[in-house]
Amino acid sequence: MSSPIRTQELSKAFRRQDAVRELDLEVPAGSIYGLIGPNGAGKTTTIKLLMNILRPSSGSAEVLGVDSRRLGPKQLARIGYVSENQELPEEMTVDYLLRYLKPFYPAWDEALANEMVRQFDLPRDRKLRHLSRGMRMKAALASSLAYRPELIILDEPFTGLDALVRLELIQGLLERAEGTTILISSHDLAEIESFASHIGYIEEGRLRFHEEMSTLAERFRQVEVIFEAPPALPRDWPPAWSQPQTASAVLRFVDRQFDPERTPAEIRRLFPEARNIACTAMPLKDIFVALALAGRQSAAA
Amino acid sequence: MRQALHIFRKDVRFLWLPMLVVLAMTALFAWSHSADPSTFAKGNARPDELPGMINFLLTMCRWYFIACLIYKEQPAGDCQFWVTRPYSWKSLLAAKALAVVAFINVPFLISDMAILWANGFSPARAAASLLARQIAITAIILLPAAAIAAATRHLAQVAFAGLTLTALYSVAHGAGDLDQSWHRLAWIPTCTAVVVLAGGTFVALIWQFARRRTPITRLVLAGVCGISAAMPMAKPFAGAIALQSLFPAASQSVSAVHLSFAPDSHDPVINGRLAIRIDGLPPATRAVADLVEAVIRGPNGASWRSGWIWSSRPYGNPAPMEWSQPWENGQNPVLYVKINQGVLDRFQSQPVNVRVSLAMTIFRAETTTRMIPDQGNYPIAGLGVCSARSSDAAGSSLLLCRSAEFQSAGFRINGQTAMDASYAPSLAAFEETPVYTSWGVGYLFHQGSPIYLTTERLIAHLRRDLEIPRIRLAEEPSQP
Repeated sequence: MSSPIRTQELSKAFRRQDAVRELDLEVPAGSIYGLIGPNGAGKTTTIKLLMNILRPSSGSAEVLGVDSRRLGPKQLARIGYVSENQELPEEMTVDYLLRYLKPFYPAWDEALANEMVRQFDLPRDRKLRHLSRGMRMKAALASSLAYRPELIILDEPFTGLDALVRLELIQGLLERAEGTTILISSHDLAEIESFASHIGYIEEGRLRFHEEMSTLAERFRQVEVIFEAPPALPRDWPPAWSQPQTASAVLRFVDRQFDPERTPAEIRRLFPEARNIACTAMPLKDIFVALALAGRQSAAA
Repeated sequence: MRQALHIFRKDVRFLWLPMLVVLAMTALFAWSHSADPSTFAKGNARPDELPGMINFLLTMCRWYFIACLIYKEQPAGDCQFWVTRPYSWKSLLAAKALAVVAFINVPFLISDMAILWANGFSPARAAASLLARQIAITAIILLPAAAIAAATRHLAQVAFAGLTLTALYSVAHGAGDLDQSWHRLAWIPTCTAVVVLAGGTFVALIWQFARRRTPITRLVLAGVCGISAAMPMAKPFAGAIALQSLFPAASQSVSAVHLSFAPDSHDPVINGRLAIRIDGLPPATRAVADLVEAVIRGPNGASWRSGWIWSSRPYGNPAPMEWSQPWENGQNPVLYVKINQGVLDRFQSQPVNVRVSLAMTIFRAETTTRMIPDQGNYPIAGLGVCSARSSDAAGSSLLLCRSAEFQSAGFRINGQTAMDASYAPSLAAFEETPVYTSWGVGYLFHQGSPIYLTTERLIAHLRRDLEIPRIRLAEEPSQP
């Protein structure tokens, strides 16, 4: 099965400011792809390019097998899109919104829509403008899942929401989107970590890396080495080791290319006096920080 | 079509208030123009300003409604809900057009018909005029409003664009001196400006809905508005005169009409004053000069061109050239073209070749009707329903004619010209109401005496050129 989303050297510049630079992205079918990166990294711009809201300055993107610039009603009927900064028709009630959208989608499932309204506890007769931010996001998600889209694109959907609402949204999404490809952008890494199958890290408009969550989690380790006396850092410090910190007789660093056999051997080679080595798995948040810092250091170098 | 109707129903549901306001204002407008125009009949020469104010408010309401309508699914911007939903832009545009037709065009048509009916005219007989008014309002108001709304994000931007456009047209109209420079040809820059504005805004609207390329749409709109507004300032008179001569189709042969040089045999000294006689006019017709141009070619390649000039135009001091309307002398009216001193100084008494070009309008007298002032209405072919009123000014009578269609006929009262007519298509003659009014003042021999109204039909607009070889404009070298 071909990738629902694929970009080739996708670039977007606003006047002289590059927002996305030669982005090569491939989202595997059926994956939950987390596009992460700091604020202003180019995540939202990338998604707007994919959705044909913006036009690329150069390069191209394919969405559901169609050039993003030619994305039309046929393709949009198969895509669910929710964004934190989307302007909803605020004068509509939840009920009217769903009734209004129904004729646009041949695959609209009324029972599913009603079920989500109940699950999200959405007040049917209340206008969207009178709903809280969390409720509006729920309404937007319900209206984007009711036609069982093949591709769901979520742009920072959890920003500014409390933990309970986030949980409800994630549950609603995962329960209704089995087998669906999901692209979700966020800098809220904790939620992404809990359900993403793939991660792409974007910074300054460039995709720094992308890989499956499982391999990413195995690749990053927080390493703690204990010595008899404070160690001196060797000149041939491996480039995959970052954020070295020494505190009395303890050295801590992040290994971005962790290997259960190679990493301890390398430590023992560089620090023959090492007394104890401990390698612990890192949460995605810490991995993200490590990547961001490594990116800045390499840019400064 | 199903999607368009679906969107239309949604718009009606959520825009009922501005729709209601537009309908109410249209009804108020119809009422204000349906009242008996007795204010005029009672000698109040300045019509009541209320209809004009209502019309202004109605125009504002229409702009507001269109902006609200477009903003429901705004093409400009990158955060709109509808952009990521399976809308067909054609259905969306059709839905918006349907709403405009339903809540602006149709009420406007009904309002026009009501005004005609209330003023004693049959709406059915004025179908062509009513259709032209629909085209005009769409071209002048609705399309620009829709295109501007489609390229903006906020009502403040719409208001700013509207004000800028109004200011631009006012300044350009003033700078172009439309009525003074173009005179009887004013319909040409007016119609061209309207066609450019309507065509450009239509293309911009389609482009913006289909592609949502707001910066390009804004550029196109700015260009269209700029070109359209600049139309009166561009003065390609030669082409305009050629165009004018095609309208209306000459109903009588005027091929014999020509110009000849008629120096005064009693005063051979020309001193820059050229007498041009118009010969060959068909019987019962008269010629009125519209624009005149003179070109002087002297020895050694020296030349001077006046450009097309209308007689009443107050040119600089001293004016390079002046001329007067043909002196009506039976079948051979004479036009005087005076080249002024500053130009004469360049050629002195050297023999020069002069070419005089004259754009003129030919009228033919039609029927004469005897009218008694203050004695009711007279239906007069070509003018509509006319009534004569004794004016407060002693010895004069005010003639008022109203018609359901724009009339290109003129008239004379007691043998004197009261109103010259000119050709203009309905688009250029678009006015506030469907009732066209023309008026003129005639002089009475004594109070209560009848007046004789002679209608004049426009026969043709034409241009004639006259070459005058080797004449001396000044017999004596002019003083330095």
